[in-house]
Amino acid sequence: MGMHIARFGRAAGAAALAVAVLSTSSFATTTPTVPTTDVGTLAGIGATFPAPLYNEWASQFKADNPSAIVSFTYAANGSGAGVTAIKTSAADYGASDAALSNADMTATAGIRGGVTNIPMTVGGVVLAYRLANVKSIATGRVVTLKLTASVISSIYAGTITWWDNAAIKRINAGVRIPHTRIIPVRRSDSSGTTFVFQSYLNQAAVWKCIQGVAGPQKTFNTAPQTCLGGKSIPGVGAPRNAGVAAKVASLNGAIGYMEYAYGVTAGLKMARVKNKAGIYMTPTTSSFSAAAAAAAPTVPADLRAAPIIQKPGVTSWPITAFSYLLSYKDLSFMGSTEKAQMYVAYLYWSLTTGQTFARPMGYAPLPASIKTKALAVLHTLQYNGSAVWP
Amino acid sequence: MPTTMTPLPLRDRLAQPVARVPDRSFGLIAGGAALLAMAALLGIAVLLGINSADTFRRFGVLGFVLGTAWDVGSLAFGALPFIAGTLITAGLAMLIAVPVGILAALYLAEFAPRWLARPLVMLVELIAAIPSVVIGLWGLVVLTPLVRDTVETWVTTTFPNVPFLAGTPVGSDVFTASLLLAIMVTPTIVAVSREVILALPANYREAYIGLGATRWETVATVVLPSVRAGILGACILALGRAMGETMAVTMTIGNADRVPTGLFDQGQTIASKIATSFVEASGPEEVGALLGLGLILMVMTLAVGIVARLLVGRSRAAAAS
Repeated sequence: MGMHIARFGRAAGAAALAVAVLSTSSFATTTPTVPTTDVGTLAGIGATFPAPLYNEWASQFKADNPSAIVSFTYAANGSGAGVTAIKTSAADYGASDAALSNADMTATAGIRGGVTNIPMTVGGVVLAYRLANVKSIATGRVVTLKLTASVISSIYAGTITWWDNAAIKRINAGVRIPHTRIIPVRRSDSSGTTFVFQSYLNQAAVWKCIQGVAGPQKTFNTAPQTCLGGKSIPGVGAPRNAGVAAKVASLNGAIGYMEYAYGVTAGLKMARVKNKAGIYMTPTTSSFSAAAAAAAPTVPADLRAAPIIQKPGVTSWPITAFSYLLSYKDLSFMGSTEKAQMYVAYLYWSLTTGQTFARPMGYAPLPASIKTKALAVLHTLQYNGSAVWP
Repeated sequence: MPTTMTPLPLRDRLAQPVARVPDRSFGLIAGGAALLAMAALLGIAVLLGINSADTFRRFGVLGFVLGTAWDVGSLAFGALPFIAGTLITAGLAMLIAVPVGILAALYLAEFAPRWLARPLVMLVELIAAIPSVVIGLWGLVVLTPLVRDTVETWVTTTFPNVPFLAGTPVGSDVFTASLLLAIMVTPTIVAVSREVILALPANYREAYIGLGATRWETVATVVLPSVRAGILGACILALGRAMGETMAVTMTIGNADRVPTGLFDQGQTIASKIATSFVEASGPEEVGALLGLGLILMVMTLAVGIVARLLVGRSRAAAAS
């Protein structure tokens, strides 16, 4: 998936590399040692969302460090699987699109010294659609639709059902919109992307009502809702990001939310969505960066941030999120100092040099302040009572 | 000093203990295999039961079976949408597949010329052997848009106010899933029914035709009544497959956790719900509820099997009398 995007952005990646090296040099006076002995396998389980980037990191890390003898496996079984793996000590590390909940933090407190949440990259959730004959009245050219949070939440709640609804026409003045039914597409499996998207919908009163006290979830509740007068939310489900993209691509009138890279790969039109500053943003990795930068000051000390929804800034994308690596604090279970060193060296590399690979693959690099904090977490990882990277 | 070797008579050979060893060991191995099959069934039932016990305790058996909500946020789990989805899709599929299947089997066995019957039978058997994920893919890419743009668009615009038929034509819904299931199980009905019809002794037909009956009269009065039990068996086999089908349904039913409000509404079967939700289930409560769904599906298919046995037995008895 990332391959397609990678083609466009090698040059940009190289430019960003230079920037990354400059910005980290001020912080890290030493870099972690990369051991030269065979350390075996470093195994991770978790989210599908950053999987292409993680795989790219693994191969690029080895290309950058030819003396490192290590093999990386990353099982992209989903965020839920990543959290389960961490709870059951089934992997060296986990990955999740959402930081661990308070309950999960408590549940994992006694396992391998407890778990720390390390943000690794930033991704954006976009609204892709397929609708024929959306044209400018003046020029006859195909145009990209503009949407707002209120329209999007009404579409997903089933209160806006036609594309030529007055509310949509009002924000798309001068555009001829055909009289076509809207078919909202959602994830049928439990998904971090859904969690981020539901966090965005949560701004609307009707969605607050549907979600109840439990708040945003990784799945939609598709049973009839009292909040909707006994109706249920409309639309069809499809498995995984790629499934939603395929469903949208196959149905005229369909709209679906997905991780940016999947929309690009499927060649879908992606709606311009109004951000907090009132600008209709076209989704780009730099708009995810802008949102992450705006969110950075509010990220708590333990780095467990909520999805980055409607952050200020004229260039911010309104539906963005950090993707987390879930790491144990006590690495003694790895069985050798060298393996723990290799793990820390790999994380360090991913957070520094590795960040340059984010943009070409459809992700955004971490804001500098978050990266600094993430690197500081690496200093706290221990092996047999002493820091792996003092 | 050559001695002539006369082979021992068979009875004496079997009396020798050494000769009975293969017999005994074969009996043991076969018995073990039979036990293993039984143990697997029991093992699955016990595992599902133990792991879903909490769910059934929390909601009550009836409360879980009749519950309509599936809300991970508030940890409310009910199985009715999925039970309904399973029964509706399997039922609709049988409604299409049974008449088509029986007619096709009759044609292949009784009417089709040999040069045509042979390749047709081969084709039908080939369809039965296509993996369901491939059929599901075809359903998603070909059947879904086709059904949406033809049948569904026509029906919803022609009868916009008829309950169960109104709605937005989306393609991914109960109707398409049922249609796909019908396509999947028809070959099973055709193949088994045809075998049963062919197994009928030829002199039955010959006698009746000799009495001056037409082809149709022979089929209606002799063939069909005599093979009733066999055809019923074929249909039950197909129903079992339709109820448990996972991939093809998951890809076409639209995946909404509610009791479908119409033919063109989205739904979910037990099998498709488990397939979509289990891998990333949110916690032990949801896992338990999903395993509870598995237990219900197992009970449902077992019940179908048992009812089938009874029906086939009664039908045989009726045919014999």
